[in-house]
Amino acid sequence: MGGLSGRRFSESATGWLFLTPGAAIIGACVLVPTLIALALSFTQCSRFLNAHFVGFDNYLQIFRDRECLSAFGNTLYYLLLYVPLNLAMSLAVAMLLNRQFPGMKIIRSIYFVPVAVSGIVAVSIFRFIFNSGATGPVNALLTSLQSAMGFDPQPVPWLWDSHWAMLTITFITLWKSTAFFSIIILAAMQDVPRDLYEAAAVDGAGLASQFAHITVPSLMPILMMVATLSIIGAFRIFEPMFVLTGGRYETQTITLKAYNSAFQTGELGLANAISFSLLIIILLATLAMNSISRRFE
Amino acid sequence: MRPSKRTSSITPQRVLGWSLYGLALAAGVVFFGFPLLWMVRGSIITQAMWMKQPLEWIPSASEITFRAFGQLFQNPQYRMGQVLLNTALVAIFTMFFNVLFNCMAGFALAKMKLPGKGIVLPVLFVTLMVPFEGMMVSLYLTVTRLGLADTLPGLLLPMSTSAFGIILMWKFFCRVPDELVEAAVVDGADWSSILFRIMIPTAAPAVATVAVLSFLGGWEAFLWPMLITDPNSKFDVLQKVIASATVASMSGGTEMEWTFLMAAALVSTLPVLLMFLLGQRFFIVGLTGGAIKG
Repeated sequence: MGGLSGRRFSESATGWLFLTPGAAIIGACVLVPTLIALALSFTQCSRFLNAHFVGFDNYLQIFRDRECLSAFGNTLYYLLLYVPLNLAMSLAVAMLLNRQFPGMKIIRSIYFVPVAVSGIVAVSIFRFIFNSGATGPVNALLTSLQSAMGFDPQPVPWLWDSHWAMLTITFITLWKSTAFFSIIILAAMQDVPRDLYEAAAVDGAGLASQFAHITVPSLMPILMMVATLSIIGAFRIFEPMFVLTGGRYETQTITLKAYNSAFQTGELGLANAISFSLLIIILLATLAMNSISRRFE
Repeated sequence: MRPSKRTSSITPQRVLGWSLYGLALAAGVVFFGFPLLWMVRGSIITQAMWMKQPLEWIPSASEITFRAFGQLFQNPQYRMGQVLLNTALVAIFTMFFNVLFNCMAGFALAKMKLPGKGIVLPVLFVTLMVPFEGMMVSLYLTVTRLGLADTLPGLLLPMSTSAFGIILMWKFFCRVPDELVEAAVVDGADWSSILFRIMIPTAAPAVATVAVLSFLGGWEAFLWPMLITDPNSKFDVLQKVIASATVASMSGGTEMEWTFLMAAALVSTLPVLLMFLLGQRFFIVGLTGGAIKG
């Protein structure tokens, strides 16, 4: 085996050898596709890569095409529903679970079950929970409640109706994500010193004031992180709409519109312009959230 | 602990507070636990039971059948054995490659003389912000151009490393004292034994995070397998099968009986759920480590 000097000499070569597999894959699967998306977004081309340059036409198209505009609108609607609810529910669940008594371990395990259920499986189960007609449990409860109160039983077409589909999908994504985010918040909560609360209680501070003056400020960094991740997640939402509605009932999101433009109508230029706009939006949102969080540090 | 009146006396307010707390806690148990129960119920009831109006919440013994679990594996239409094997292979390969490649790259960036390091790290941080959904179309075009559509390498390639994992390992390895590495070099250890004997054991929590997240990522992958493999491909994975059966069921199609669909969902969930319940502490360290330290 080579001596010390040989090893020194080969250090940078070995370093690059170690770095190469990871760097090459990220280059081929993130960097190159991002550049291709940027390049194709300025072209018109169909499935067979017969691209010709059209300048900013695809980006202008986004503002002219009703379907594109509604995709951005639907995503924004989902974001406005999902982000505040996710933040409030994750915090509430973490607070509920932040106590110690016999049996709490089992209760926590039940609360965290959604973490072990894949997004697709969750969507699949809720498809039956929110089944139309009276065969789904939600409608069964609703209709029996309606009859008990003397109304005509009227089941709701939860996933087959423009008023309800986006609300129902938000409910489903919240089920999955609150479990995950409350684990993170709970972990941070356990680092908040107990004596802060005891001192506040001695000073006569009520629960509401303890929440406003101790819980929220000490969790602020983690809450900002949850907010940032929720915003990114909301812009990226794809699976539930793809599986449950295919974008019908006013649930076509940005990502689904990009997918449909590429694989249904074969407008690769437009698809990549939408994709690249999404990338820029997420980049800007992340930077904005980071600069806001820095103020709380 | 200071003795105080608040903690000892039983006042009506405290009783009310505790009942409200108990009520909220119970509501949460129902909210988070019910879908799992509904999946299990759905996987063992007859098709007639599915269609029953009004809904009967608890099926009687005559309406329970375990036919789905046998049929999924025996009936060539569902070929669950093949699908399960594919899913397990994808999950295990994804985990193996992520742990290996991310540790190697993180180690090189943290502890080795590396010309060009100053460019690699900022580029990694930028790629961290590129959402998969934002480049799935061009990634599909790239991998297809490489001739890897509907192949196992094509399926694994984009999942086999992550900028996030490399950065996580880099951060952890940076905390290991340089003296430890220098001493090993003086003792004549080569770089790979420094990585595997010293660095990886020291950074066990970060390795656990990468392992848990990448295994889950492989097991639960849907979007990329759906894009890059053909319909009814021999590389079909569980999530793709469940998703396409669910899509069909939305418009009344019966690609798969509903009982079978819920049984497939149970097959997908059970291994992860068992891992989660048995290794909850490990699992949660993995998940939160991913979010907090990243």
